[in-house]
Amino acid sequence: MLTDLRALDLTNEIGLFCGKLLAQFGVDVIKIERPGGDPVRNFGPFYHDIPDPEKSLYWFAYNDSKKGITLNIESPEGQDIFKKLVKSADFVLESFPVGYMDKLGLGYKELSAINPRLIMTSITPFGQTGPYKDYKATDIIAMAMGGIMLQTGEPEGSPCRLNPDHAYCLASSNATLATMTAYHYREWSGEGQHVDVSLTESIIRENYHEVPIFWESVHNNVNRTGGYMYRGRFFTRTIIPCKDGHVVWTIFGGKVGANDNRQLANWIADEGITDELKDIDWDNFNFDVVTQEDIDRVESRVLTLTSRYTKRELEDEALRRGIRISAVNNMKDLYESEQLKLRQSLKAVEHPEIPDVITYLGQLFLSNGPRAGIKHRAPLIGEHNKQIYQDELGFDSNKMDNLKGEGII
Amino acid sequence: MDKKLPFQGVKVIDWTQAAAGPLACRYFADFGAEVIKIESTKFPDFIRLSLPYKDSIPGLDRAYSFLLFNTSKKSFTMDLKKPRGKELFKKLVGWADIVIQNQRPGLMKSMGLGYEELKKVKEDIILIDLSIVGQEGPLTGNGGWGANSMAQTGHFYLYGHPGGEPLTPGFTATTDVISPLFVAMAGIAALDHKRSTGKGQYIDIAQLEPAVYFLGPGLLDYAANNRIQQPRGNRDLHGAPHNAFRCQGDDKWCAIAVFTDEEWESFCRVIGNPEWTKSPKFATLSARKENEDELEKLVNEWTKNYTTKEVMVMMQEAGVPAGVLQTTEDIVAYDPQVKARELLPMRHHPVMEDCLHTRWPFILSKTPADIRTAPCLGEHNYYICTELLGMSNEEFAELVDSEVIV
Repeated sequence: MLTDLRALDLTNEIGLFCGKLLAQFGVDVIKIERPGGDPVRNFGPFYHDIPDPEKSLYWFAYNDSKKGITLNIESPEGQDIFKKLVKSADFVLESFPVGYMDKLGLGYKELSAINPRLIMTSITPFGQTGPYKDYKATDIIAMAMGGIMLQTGEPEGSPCRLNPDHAYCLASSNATLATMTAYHYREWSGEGQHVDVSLTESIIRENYHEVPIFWESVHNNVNRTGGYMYRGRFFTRTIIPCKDGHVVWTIFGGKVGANDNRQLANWIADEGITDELKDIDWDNFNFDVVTQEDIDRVESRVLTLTSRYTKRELEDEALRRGIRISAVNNMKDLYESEQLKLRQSLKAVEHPEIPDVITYLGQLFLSNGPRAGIKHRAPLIGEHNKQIYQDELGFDSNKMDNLKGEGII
Repeated sequence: MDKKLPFQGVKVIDWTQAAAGPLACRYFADFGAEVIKIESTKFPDFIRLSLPYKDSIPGLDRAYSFLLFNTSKKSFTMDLKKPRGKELFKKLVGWADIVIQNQRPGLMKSMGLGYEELKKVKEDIILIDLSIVGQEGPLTGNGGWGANSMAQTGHFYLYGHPGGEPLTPGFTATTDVISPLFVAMAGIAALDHKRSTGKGQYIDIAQLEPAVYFLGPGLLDYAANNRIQQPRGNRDLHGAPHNAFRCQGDDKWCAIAVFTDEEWESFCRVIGNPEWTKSPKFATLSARKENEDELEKLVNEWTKNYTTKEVMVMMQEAGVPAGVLQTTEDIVAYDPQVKARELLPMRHHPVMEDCLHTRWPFILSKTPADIRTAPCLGEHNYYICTELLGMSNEEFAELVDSEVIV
């Protein structure tokens, strides 16, 4: 894994997830906060709903496995200290407005002069170049500009973004991958570089089916379809209500869907709902010729079935019958998921200050070699100031007091 | 090769189909790895058979989805059910650094091509198995599609307006976009591990964990507070106004996101400081959150008089985050940022001719991706056998005749 490497993490909420991922892949990530603590520490939810910068679950979720120091990089002395840290760093992660780091004398040009092997990763709303480069974007703005928002919602209702911070997480994941790629290149070429990640481009690319696959063929805008999918000639239901929530099942034509369709028809017959679906020739149920009425006929029977059972009951029985029905899980379901338990992906993490143990999802994959996963809880404000400034940079306690007094650390 | 690319010299076998697996392999290919996609004319990647087709004419080399998921790769067709097909596959494993596959869990092993078998061919091989929920476990038998994965990972539960039904973002399967990024990260980490230790690696990566990682604060809210997070729609705990607002025209909307006091003051200035903005009901963020329904109505009264672009530009020029809810047409045909940064580059495909391709949402300053079009089925059979595996023309012809290469 990525050991013996260090990242200096200056990001705000757009990019915090990137540093967390790199830390879980083995990088020594130092989160640099402004003196007094990062504003993100004021984001809820909070542990036991106590608003406290050391109890923000939002902060915990995106900063585990990092170390933390405080530093005012807007002060000349703070900039000097930052440059000292850059000398031995491998990565700088930042999400300031385009040009902000240059103004401080900490742009890629200056930093790469100090350390040519440095990889600097900038995550910005629209990227480092182009007519919108100085525009602001938060999560919802990227969802809007990326086209996903206008196509999510009930047909006659208002558009809807995906879960909060989805765009931030996606852009940060892209940033992590791009940073690792630049690192792979550096290891054989010796060259560092600047990585330019766009929040909005991340959502445009997530919208892969419309941009440009669907556009290229039909030159048409997609409309909102609620819990349905538009399949070219007709709509099919994706999200199906059941007794205690929802399940997902997708109908396919031809060989791809034949087994699911046949097994579901049997189940519906076993339930005494109707035998008529059993008579359909599923191997030749061709999406090029079936009509909306054909689809509706199947779906109304499926709805009768799902209304009788809970999402868990439906998933269990579908599993037995070889049908691809899945429960729409919530947070409680995830913590109780037998699959996550079996994969040992839930990890209890100590928080001595609270004092409590909090269970995280703490592992990205299984492997017979090193795994990427959680190392420890997020840092407290300035928790590693002593380790970094005194032990590594050799500042004495006088200097530490002065820096504190001047509001630099 | 005149361009320098990060993965030049890296060799990947791509035995995947659908979206997530092919996209992960595409990543390595776009950044310079030699990626061999394994299919057969009997069992092509089923995405080759998916609508929409170029000019609506069906054809194995005419599907847009396949094109966009498989750029920069080489295509090799063989019959893996034949013993000699397996032999050929193993020969290729001897050449490769990484094998990535997303077939039904257990299939590869049952064909005698599991990790232990591949290791016998090449001790330091890296094998990455990608699946929906993992190679083993109670839910593995289900398999499924992107929609199943969005349901299982908790995403669908949160895609919606408060109190409303869960919504699907059209045809887009978000988990099919998330997981390839993590497959590629795992692959790079494994290459790094191999470089420093000489050891290969087996990786069982699912769509499950990376997608659930996206829900971090909500997970901890349950772990620490026993609270099941509900869909929040377009509002935000820390900002108001924060929603999509109606503008001039049919189904035209602009999103506005006001977080700080400074942004609120700028916002008021842009809309002309009307009397209501001075009311104590809207003076602070907490007051605005309390009176959010009324606030949103008032904002809508203003936005409806302007076009989406006018609202975005006025707000942005004043430092307030705002963005048009763009249609596909807005993005593909008119977005000046998309054009300036060439997010959708044009490439020529031998059958589909000139069409839009995509690049990744980031630019590496010294080694940008080199997007080449997707291969036609079996396009590189001869090259792979003769140049990569060193066969003679006669050996190649014999494999074709005996339908091992098919």
